[in-house]
Amino acid sequence: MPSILQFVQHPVGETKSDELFDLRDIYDFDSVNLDGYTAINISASCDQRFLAARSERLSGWVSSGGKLLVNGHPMLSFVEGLPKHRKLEFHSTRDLWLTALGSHPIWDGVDRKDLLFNTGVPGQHSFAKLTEIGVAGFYAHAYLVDLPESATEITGIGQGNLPVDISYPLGAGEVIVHLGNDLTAFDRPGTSAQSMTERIFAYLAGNHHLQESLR
Amino acid sequence: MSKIAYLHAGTFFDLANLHDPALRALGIADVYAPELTAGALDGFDAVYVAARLHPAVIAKVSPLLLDFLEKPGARMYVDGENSVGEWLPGTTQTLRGTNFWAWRVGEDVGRRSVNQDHQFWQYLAADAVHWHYHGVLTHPHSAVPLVHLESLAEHAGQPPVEDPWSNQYRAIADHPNTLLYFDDGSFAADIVVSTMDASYHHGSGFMPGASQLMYRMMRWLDGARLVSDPFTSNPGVELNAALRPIGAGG
Repeated sequence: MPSILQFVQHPVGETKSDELFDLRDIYDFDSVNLDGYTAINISASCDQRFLAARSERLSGWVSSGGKLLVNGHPMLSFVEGLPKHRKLEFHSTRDLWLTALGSHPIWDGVDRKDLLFNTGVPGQHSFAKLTEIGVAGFYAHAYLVDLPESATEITGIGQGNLPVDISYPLGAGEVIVHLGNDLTAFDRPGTSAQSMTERIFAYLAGNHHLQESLR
Repeated sequence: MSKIAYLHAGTFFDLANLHDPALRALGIADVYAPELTAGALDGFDAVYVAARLHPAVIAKVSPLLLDFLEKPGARMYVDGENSVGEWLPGTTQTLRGTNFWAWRVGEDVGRRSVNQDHQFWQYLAADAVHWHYHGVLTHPHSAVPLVHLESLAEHAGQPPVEDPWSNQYRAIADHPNTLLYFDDGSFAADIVVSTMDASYHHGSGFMPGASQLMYRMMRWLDGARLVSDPFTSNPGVELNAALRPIGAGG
C-alpha cells in the first residue's frame, strides 16, 4: 500500500498497487481510512469549506505523527496552526523574486531562482533567457502571515522576503505549507529543481536514503 | 438591486472572491454548490457559475441551473472549465491548451474579438477577453460569438503546437472555435458562456484581464430583473393577451 495520500478536487479512478501515492477525490475524505499513511498532500484546488469542517480529524491525524503538505492559498483554517494568506502587490519580477530563508529537506540544494519562471516555449532555457520569455508568479504571488511560533520559514518572496514556504511541528507530526500552485508541478529539467517531485515524495514517504541520492 | 448568486465550491479563489469588496458591493450571495438544493436559486435574478466546479458538483447542480434558465428576465454567466458540453443543451466544448506565455514572446495565437457591433460589447473590452482560454465551443444558432480563435495564414502548413501539458492550443479546422458567446434565444433567460476561467484567476490575484472579465460579467448580471409570471404572481388580474404563452388560448 502506498504511504502517501494525495487529495484532489476531481473524481479519480482506482489506484494501482504499485503507485507511489493513493490519489483520492477530496469529497471521499470521510470514507478514507487515514491510518497507515505517513503523509497527506492536499492540492491547491481542494474545497476549503469542506476541509474546514474536518479540521479536527485532520489535525488529530497530523498530531499523531503524520506529515501534511498543504498547497495553495489558505483562506480557512483547516488544520491547527495553519497560517493565513495575504495578497501581495507585484509589478516586476523583483516583487516576485524567491529567496531561500531556512533549511528543509525538500528544498535543500534547490536554487530558488530555478523555480521562479514558467514558460511553454519548447526546450530548456538558461535563466537569462527565462528573464526574457518566462512568466513569474506561478510558484507564489502572495504570502503567509500569523505563522506559529515554532515555524521555519523556508522560502521568501519579493523584496521583503515574505514567507511562502513554511513548516511547523504539530504534536508528533509536521505541517508544510506551500503558498502557490501545487509543489509537484515545479520539476525543472537541467536545473537544481529537476527532481522536485521526487524530493517531495521521498520526504513525505520518509525515504531519507532516496532524498540523499537526489541532492 | 439585482440579486446575484455566486455559485461556487469553496475553493481558495471562491473564498477570496466572496471577500472582494468590489464584489460584495454588488451584493453577491454566497451559494455553496455542493449543498445546493431544489429551490435554493429561487429569488435570485442572476447566477454567476464560478470556474472549475467539481464534475460531481456540476452533475448535481446542472438540472437546477437549467431550471433557472427557464425564468424570463434572468441572466446567467458560466465561467470557464465547467464541462458545459456535458450539460448545457446546444453547446459542445473541446479542450484547447493553455498558452500563458504568448504575451511574453509576442505570439499571435489567433484569438479575435468578433461581432463588435453587438450590443453586448458594451459590457466587454479587449483586455477583459484577451488573456487565455481552456477550450473552444460550438453553440446554438441564436448564440452570438463575441470572441473566437482563427486559423492564421502564417500558421498554415506548420506542425501543431502544444502547451506544456501536451494540449494543442490553436484553432481547430472546420470548427466555430468560439471562446465566449451571448445567447438570448435558447432559453427564457439570457446566458453568456466562456472558456476563460475569470473567477479562478481573479480570486488567485494573478491575472488583471481575468479581473476585468469577472467584474464586467457581474455588471451585466446586476442588470437582470426577473419578469414576474402573470399566471402565478397575480392570478386575480385579467391577463394581457400579449403575455400569454403560445398555446394558452384566447
